[in-house]
Amino acid sequence: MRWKVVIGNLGSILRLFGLAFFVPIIPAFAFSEDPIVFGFLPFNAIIFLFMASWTFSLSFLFEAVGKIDDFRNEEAIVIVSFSWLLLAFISSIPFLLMGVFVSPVNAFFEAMSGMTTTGATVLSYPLEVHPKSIMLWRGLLQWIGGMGVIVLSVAILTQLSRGGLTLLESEAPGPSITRLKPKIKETAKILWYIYGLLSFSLIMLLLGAGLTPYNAVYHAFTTLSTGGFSPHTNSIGVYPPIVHWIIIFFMIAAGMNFSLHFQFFKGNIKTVFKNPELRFYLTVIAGGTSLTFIMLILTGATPTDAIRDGMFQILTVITTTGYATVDFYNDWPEFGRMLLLVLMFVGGSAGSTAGGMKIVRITLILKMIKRKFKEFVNPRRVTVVRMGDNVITEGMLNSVAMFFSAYLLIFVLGALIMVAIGMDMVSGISAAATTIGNVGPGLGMVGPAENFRAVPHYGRLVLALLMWIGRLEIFTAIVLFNPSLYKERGLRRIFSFRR
Amino acid sequence: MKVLIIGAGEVGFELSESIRRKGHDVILVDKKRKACEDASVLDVKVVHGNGARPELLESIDIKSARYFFAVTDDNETNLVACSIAKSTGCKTIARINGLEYIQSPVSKRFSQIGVDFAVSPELIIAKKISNIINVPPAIDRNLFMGGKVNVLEFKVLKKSKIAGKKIKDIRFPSNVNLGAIIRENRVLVPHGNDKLLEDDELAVVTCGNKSEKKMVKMVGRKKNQVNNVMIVGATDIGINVSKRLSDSGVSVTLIDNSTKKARKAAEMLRNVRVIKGDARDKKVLIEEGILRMDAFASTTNSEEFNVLVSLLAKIYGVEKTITTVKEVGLKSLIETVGIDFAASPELDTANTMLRFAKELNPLQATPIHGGDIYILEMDVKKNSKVIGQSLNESELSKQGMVGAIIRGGRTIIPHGNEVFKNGDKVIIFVLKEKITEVEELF
Repeated sequence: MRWKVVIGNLGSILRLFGLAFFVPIIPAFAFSEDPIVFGFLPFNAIIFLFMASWTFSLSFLFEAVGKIDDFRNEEAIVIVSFSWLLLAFISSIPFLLMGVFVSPVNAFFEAMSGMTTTGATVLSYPLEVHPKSIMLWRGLLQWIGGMGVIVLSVAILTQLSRGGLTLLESEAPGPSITRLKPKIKETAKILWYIYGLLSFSLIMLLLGAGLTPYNAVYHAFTTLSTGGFSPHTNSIGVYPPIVHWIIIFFMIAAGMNFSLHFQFFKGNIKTVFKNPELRFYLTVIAGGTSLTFIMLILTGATPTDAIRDGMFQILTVITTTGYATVDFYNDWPEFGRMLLLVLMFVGGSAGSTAGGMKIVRITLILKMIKRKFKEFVNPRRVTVVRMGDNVITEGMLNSVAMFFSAYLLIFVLGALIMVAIGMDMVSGISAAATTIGNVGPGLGMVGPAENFRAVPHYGRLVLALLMWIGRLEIFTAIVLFNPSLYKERGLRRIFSFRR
Repeated sequence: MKVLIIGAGEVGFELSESIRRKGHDVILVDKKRKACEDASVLDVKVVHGNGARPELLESIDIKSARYFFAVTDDNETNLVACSIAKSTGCKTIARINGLEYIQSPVSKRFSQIGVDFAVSPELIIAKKISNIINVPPAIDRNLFMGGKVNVLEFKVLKKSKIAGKKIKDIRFPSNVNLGAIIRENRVLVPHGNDKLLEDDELAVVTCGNKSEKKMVKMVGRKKNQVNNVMIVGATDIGINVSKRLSDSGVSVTLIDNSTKKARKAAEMLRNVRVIKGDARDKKVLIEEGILRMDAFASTTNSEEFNVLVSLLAKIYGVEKTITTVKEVGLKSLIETVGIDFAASPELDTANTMLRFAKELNPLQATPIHGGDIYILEMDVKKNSKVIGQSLNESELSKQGMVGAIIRGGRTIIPHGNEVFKNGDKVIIFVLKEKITEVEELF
């Protein structure tokens, strides 16, 4: 571990991130937010300008400490997990400066919820009273987080798994992340273009559906990143059905493996629909939608409402977006709530911006159970697990099983803590499930009509941590808790300035 | 014509013998001194050395050679040797071992690097084994003229309708011809008054698959469908046979005692039950369902093992047992101890290779029943002795049994008064010792 390299690389990430602070300045001017100083300059714009310059200076400092070098496996993991923490920390500062939050814990929770594309909020309702600039900042954080997830899944983790680091093999389970171009950088770039292109098309469609430019951009940011922040208290519920359908379509797209979009644009439509993960993903969506459809029909909804509301809520949970068009906690029967809670664990496809355990892992777990059954009946039987035509190695299966267990274990711990600090069981369990899965709303006290202010103050820190662990797919995050990492000579040397 | 053969193994031996018999000059090259010494019993020139070395090839005057066979057990040597030979204008035929480079029994994909035909022993024999298994009563099955004529070998079972009947009383389906009867290891040329006995082996000519099916129906049991097959040994051959059979809808159980090999087989085969276990263990065999198997093939690399487990399978009542055999000479021995078919990859490879060497005018002869009897494919030419003669008056009917005549793309099951014409292709059953006599008639 060379801490210099870690810090140097964090510096260059910060330099890119600093550019993001210029974006909220646009709504600050456009809506001439109060207070205005010097007769023309919104004070909020000054705050973001200050943040940008501050971030740039920090990045130069970091780059001066370290060198941006080719990193090794362990260094890459540490860079990734630290960058999420660091960026969440820095992006929480504007919330405090603008007085949206008083407590740093709340600001950190909101920023982490953005950076991890979770979408859980502690902002006070109604949301419409908050300045447009800071609201856009929150949506932008999700969009940036989504970009980060794409690089994470494609660029860094494929490189790591190639390096034979078994811990991270589960990051690239089987055929999920296929390199589109030999160079990792090129692959990430292509996927970013696709991400940008999808965002742009969604903006255009939403404008066509009659949304204001601000709202169109905002929802494109938070849909494609499967984040789920909305500038409205009632989320997408405030819009007419056509907007629901547009968002449904783009949520499906955002929960797909992004390399499939690339194949689609290249015209390999056959390859796309042969992809086993996509098939299973679509099956789960279809299954969930039909169940909720029947349920809603039985509770007396009209068929059009039942299919739209059912599908929207199922998708928002599976793709871990976290919008809502209905208050499923108060309005839906118990079964519907339970179904949504279960789907929180499933998540979208690997290689997408969605969170959760990922469809591919669930598929593999189911296949492993089936295989175990065969082996149990006849111990001499030799079988392999396949995804499509690819044989999944035993090492990879092992990693998937480990991931599955670790995910559940951390969820259980999280839920236990939530209930211990005073939440009721439904709320505590769903709060832990929704944050580790990067979904957004939970059930009960943290349901779609409520927000995470119901969670005891320091419990929010625990939930922010869960978001971070879930987003980094557990093992990347856990590496930071390895004490041997901090016993390195390099770290002491940097922090004792005996260079 | 001069012919070079690199590699004096089983395939090299078979090739040398067949080509030499046609009067061509054969030079046999091998790296191993022992193999060269063994080859000295053949009536060919034997050279010791690496056949892929350009200097060596020049020293034996490769330029004057017309055909070049590279049949060592090393793929790279074969490919390099062929590549060099091609540059001097030879027709080149290489043996490609394993399935790394080759996906079909005979492939032309290496023609770019100088190999006109690449032949895979494993795939050739796998194709043959699965062919035999797929037709239930058959113990051997050979296809001629691209499937226009099939020669089926099968045993007369006790329960069968034809057991104990005279040949003239049996109403064979149309387009079917009885070629030979093998009784207690002697070959009989069938006559109308002969009775078919239990355990006789019959070689039958059929015109294509349709009449073959009718024949199978006639001699077969109630159940004509092969449903369950057990293969022992996850070798290239075993895996390929399993794949072919499972692709044609047969339920296959593949057994191997090595975890690694079993795992590899499981990775390659989708719909095959792969079992890790010792096939010599009765418990394993019974638990994996040997009692309901319609056919059994042992394809490990050990002949002794193959014979042993095949005999075990026979004891458990599997109707058809097949085993692979390396040494060509063991083939007929194994077939006499009760195993229905001993598949020799080497023998079939040599025979296949000869088919591509048309200019050598090799005898198109396929041995059946361990080489006691051959199926010859002869062309009737302008100066053939048989031309213009009818089947009855021709010398041919004394020497062998004409199974079928192919005339202008049509297959004819000949009657006694059928007259040979120029351009006919004739399929004849001949005893091994009479091959030369028959050849002279054409």
